[in-house]
Amino acid sequence: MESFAALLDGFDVALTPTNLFYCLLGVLWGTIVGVLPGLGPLAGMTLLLPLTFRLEPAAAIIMLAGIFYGAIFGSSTTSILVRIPGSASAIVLCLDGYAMARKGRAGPALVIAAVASWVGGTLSIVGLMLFAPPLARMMLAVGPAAEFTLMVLALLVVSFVSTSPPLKTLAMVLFGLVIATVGLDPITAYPRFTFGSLQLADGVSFVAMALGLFGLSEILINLEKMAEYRPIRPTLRSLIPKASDLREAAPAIGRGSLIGFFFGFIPGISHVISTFVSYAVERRLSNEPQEFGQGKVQGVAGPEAANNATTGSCMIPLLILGIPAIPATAILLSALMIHGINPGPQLLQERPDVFWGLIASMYIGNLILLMLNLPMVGLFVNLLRVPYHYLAPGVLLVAIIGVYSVSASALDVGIMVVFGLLGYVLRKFDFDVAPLLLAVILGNAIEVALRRSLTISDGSYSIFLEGAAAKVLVFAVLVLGFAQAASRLFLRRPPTPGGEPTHRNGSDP
Amino acid sequence: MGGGLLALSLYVVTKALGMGVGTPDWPGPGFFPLGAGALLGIVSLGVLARALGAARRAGQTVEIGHPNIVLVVAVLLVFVVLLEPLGFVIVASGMLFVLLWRLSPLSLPWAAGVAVGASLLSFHLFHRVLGLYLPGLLDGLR
Repeated sequence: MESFAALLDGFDVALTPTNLFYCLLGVLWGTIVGVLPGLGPLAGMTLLLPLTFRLEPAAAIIMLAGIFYGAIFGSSTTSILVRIPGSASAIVLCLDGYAMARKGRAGPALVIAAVASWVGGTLSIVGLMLFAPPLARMMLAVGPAAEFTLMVLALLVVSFVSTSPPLKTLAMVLFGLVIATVGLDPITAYPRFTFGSLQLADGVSFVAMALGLFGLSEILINLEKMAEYRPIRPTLRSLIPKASDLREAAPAIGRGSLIGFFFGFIPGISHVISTFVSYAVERRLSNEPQEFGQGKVQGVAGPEAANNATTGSCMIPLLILGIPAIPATAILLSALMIHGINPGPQLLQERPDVFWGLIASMYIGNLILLMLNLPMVGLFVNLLRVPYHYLAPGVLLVAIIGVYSVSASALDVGIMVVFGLLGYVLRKFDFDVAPLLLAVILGNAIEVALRRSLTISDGSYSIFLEGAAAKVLVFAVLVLGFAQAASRLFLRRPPTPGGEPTHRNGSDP
Repeated sequence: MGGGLLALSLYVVTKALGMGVGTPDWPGPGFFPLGAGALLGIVSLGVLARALGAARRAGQTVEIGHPNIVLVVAVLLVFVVLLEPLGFVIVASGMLFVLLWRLSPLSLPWAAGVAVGASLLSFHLFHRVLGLYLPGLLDGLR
């Protein structure tokens, strides 16, 4: 009851004309940067951070938060339309979202993504409102050993997602972990595989890799079949999802929201892991798991709900403990501190207008996102009418701009080209590139968590079995590993029309 | 592919041993690359063994190297080398011109016009309006 009354006061703050304007500005700018490959919430927030210096604290935080969840939503658009993930958390949408678009169902995919985003984001805000203090205290119990096990769990989960044979999936995961070691050692700063390059000291650019492995490789594969490529000509009716789509999406959205909220307040790359976990859960629960990757509605609805559900819960460590769980919330922290506000347990008492104004604005911002993006679905989908020999050069140009603008580095563009070619070859030989990318994203964090755990335990691996969080996660890893092995051993994949078990193309090299 | 991954794993393991693996209670910079590289080597052997077995049974081949792909990759590599010396507008115009001329039904003058127009528009939108940094005209040669 008290929370509800405070929330009403928060709406008083959020619904002032000034704060509404900055919410709209933030959401609009966030959607634009999310759609542009290479930019993401972090870049979008950083670009407008100086503007917030002159604003009232509530307006500043409301605008920056709007950019944050606007960008998370916007990044799904390019994943669905052209298979270029706008951010790490949108990688999963490149699977079924893009497949839906190729079947002439880009409109329903975008609508379902928009609705799932809104529901996931809204439910997450409710959770933030109700559960913030106790969940923040739980977060402190997650130490390096539990973090390590959680990330190993994520890599195991991705094996459920992958369409490649298990040995090839494992090879991609290990390849990704090797690539993640490029750069300065995260603990001792020893240069590893940098070949004397200062730019490689920061590691291989994730944006360049993602755009190469997904975007450029897709363009190269399509260029081979350009004579057969037909532009999609959506009709008005095809923009609207069927009632059956919404019925199938609804439970996936509910599950995805819960998964995203749960993962969101764990520090690190939780928003990425949550999308893969949601996808794996939907595939496991589906009566037609073999259809995943071919345009299943649940493959879009669940992960997109999970993606946006993290926006509320990742605010919890920031607002209640003053600890940014993900880089984007570090920008919010810097904005708060610039205005002389110290997030932490006292924020609720000392600045309730900022706390509840932010929460109320997130409700409003999510609604604005939905109202803004639904009418634009037709505009986005009409991009697919463009013949491929015009679309491909345009997409390449935007991708190059996105990659270059991150660090003003031509080397990053070169990395995109190399990984594009690598992704093309890997996909020709039936290697799934999604596990590779996830392993690169998690690699540094896994290494740091592993080495810290061993240092804490004086070299004993038993640390991974100590503590409630670690035990739960180890149990989950063992169960998943057993289930995976059993399903490979006892369940045949459904045969393709040619009679052979599922392999996409090519033979093994 | 299995052979390529195996070669990579051997390289990584060799380099990792030179970085210092450290001790169990203080793993060094070579610890994680050594572990990941060694596991990759073992898995690569498995991938290679299965591939050789499958190739013997099936005799199928995979075609790589379509002319369109060679063209795009070559154009992109030239783009990377010339971007900073010549600036975004010139290099993007060149890239778009080659791609449109070779991949689309556009005639040479139309391809050139569209390429230059699109490059100028992109530069204005992303650099001037959105504030993203892109190399200016002949920046690298001044």
